[in-house]
Amino acid sequence: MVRAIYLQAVGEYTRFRRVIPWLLLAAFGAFGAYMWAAFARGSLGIDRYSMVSYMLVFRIAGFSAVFFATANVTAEVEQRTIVYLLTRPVPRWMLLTVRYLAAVTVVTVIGIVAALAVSAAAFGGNPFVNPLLGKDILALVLGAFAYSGAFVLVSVVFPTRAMIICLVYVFGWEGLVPNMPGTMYYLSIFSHLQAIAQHPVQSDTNPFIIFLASMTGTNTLSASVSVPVLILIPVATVAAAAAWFTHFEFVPRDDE
Amino acid sequence: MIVMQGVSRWYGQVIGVNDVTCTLTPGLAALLGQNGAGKTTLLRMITGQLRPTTGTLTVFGEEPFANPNVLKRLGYCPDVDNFYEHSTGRAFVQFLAELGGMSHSIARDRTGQMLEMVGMAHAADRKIAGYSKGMRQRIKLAQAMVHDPEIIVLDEPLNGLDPVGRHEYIELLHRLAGEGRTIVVSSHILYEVETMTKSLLLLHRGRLLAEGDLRVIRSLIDQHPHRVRVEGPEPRAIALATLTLPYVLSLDLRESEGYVEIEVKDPESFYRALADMVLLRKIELTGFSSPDNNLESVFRYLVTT
Repeated sequence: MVRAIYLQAVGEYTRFRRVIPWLLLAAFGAFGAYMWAAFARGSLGIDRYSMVSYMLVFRIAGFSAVFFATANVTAEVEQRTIVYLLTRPVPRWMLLTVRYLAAVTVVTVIGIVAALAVSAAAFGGNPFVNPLLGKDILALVLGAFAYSGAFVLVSVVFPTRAMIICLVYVFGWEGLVPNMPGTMYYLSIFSHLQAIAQHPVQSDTNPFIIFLASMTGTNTLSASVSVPVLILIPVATVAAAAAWFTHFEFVPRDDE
Repeated sequence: MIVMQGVSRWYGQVIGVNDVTCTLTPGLAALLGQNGAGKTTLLRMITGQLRPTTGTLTVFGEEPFANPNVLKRLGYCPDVDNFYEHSTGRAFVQFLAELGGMSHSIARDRTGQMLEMVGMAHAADRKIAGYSKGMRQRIKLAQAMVHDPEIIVLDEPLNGLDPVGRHEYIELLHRLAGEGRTIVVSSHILYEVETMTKSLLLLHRGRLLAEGDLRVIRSLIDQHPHRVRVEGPEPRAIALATLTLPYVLSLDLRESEGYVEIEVKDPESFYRALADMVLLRKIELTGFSSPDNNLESVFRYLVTT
């Protein structure tokens, strides 16, 4: 049963038309790193990768999580196929959790593919010479769990507005809060990902690029704090989402 | 098997189902009502998608809402025409079979049997997006039956089926009911239901107006004035011949249009007299019909009683 739910959800999420925009975004990131190398011949691979991955790869993780995590419930309600899932003898918490794990798998794979593509472009073809890659993959995996968990919770609580709420969070909150002074960045998943990835900043990098990479703030978080936080976020949010999904009705209202 | 006791369901200020009390036992029962009568709401409560606002509803003695114990023994064919369109019919049914708790190999075999049973084996490996309405209805039935449930709930299952398809579908429902299952079918078409079963639940604006044998409900209706339109080349002669009959209450002669509309209080006796009129008095008729013999009239009669 778990296998069937998982494979069906992965199959649903990885349909060609759904995956192709993410692959194009990954390719765009790689193109950015390549152009950087082509026009700034003296720049180092680690600087190119560092900036482009914060600007694009980590954003892709959050952005793709919006689409795949909200597909868990919101898309099923909208296309009205949820009726088939909810009239089967599957505990609702299991349905939600397994589909969440399927979303995490897809978001993780997209994030890693994007990281490898950018790394390959930044380091002249071989992505594995990148010393930041290992930590980045860890951050992307934890980020996929955290973003997807938070968005699954939003999608069960606000099934008709989940997409817009999550997009505002990713574009607005996650883009701005890490750049702000003070400690509000504690509440940003992106800041915790940065704390794990620990990318260096070159002093001569264009300030606008640093802003786009959300590195103008004073992030003092360390991996020892952020890893537990990024483990706790999905545990708490998915548990809350599963409880909500089990207790409330999820049938689109119609005229009968 | 399905017991409803004072079940009501509100959507904010709007009532979907109003104080319904009834019991459904094995056999084929039809839920008849116009659009908006509350049929789908009632079926969604039976299938554990909605909770009653007040009252109690039990299936196999348990509340069905999100209850795997109930859903294991219940199949549902929804009214919505939505699917995973890119999926094949076989993959769709097999996925839902596995969600019903079957192993992959058993689900595969059972899916094959069900697709054969609903006449979809030949098209099972095509994408659902390319199916006709009738094929989609059959796939929905296959998924509802695939886990061998004791109760099968079907919401407007005959929509989109051609006459042959309808006949086969109804035959299949009779066969399933004959196996001791409880089959609940909703419809808003009286004729359709009459060909399916004699056991009815009549819903109107959320209320259960009548329950039981269709013949009993019809006889209740027949106790009230009924309009019969009789057509022929000489409507005046028809009017004169029927005027003296004791159960005729009024006549509306439409000579130029070639018919007379007669209000009668005992339609059964009137139809017998009409036959005698043709045979013994040689009055020529070209046709007769009853404008009241439709669902709206059934409800009108029942609401005014």
